[in-house]
Amino acid sequence: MPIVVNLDVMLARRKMSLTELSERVGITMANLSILKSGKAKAVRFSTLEEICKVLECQPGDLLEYMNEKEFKKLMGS
Amino acid sequence: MFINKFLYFSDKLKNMKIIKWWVDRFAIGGLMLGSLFSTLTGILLLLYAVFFIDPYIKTGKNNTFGISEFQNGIPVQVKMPSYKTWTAAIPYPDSSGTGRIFLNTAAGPLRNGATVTTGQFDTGTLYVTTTDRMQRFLLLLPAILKVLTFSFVAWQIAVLLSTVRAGESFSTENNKRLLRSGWLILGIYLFLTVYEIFYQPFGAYTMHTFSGERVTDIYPDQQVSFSWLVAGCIFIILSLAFRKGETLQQEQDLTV
Repeated sequence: MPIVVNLDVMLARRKMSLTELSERVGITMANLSILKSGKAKAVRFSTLEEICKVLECQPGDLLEYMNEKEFKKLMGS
Repeated sequence: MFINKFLYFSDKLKNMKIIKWWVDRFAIGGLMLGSLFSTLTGILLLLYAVFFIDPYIKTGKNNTFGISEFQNGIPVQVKMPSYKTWTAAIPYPDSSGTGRIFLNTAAGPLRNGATVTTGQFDTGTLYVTTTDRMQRFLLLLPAILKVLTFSFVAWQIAVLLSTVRAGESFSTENNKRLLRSGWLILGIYLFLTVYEIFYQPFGAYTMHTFSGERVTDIYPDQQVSFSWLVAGCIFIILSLAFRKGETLQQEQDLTV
């Protein structure tokens, strides 16, 4: 799916670890990993809301649309 | 209102410990045991068929039989307590009260060379007494197949139930289990239908032999029942539902 989740970028900007985010947002590490690795098929609005609240950002900062070519390149690299 | 009441009671029933206990211990274990038992029965049937069995064709009172029942050349024997009416070419019962008809040995117009036309006996049992192992095997093949199919399907359902209990209902394995069972049932149905068209008496004798019920008429359509077709279709439809469930489950698992 050519929607990329830029969670690691936002985490780096906020200097926050995945574990800390998991604790503060209240979702499991397993689910966060699914989100981070791009395997997720859907994101609940409630989850998105919590992540945005903790990371003080907009949904657009976390999600990005890429065309197929760019996406394949990204995944390939 | 009625539906509400029904839902209330069914909910109560579901939460009852005894029902849960029964499902946990009995349903799955019972199915597995049943499966093992019927497999064993199937194997015993096979051994019995090949070595010992003397299945009966007709028993009870006022029986008649005709050419159609002998067309495949199975030697038969009639056991009866006293002399009864016979048409020509069928030997009279001997002193032990047993009338013997060995169709294979006589020369005549039928495929097997028998000259027997029709027969009648008032009380007694008509047995198949062939010593040919291949014929015995063919005679019992439908029963053996049915028993083995049942044991396979029962085993699959038992395993499926145990996975449902473990909370893994919608998996590829379960889908395959249902599909396998469905196609097996349909396959056996098709095979037995064709089989009984070509070997009408074989199929006809078999089930009655082991169910032990009185047989008054022998027709192939009594043997492979339509419910097999329905059962096979239900299994396949269920597997399609499980496939959909699997997709939904995967989606649910990957929703954060």
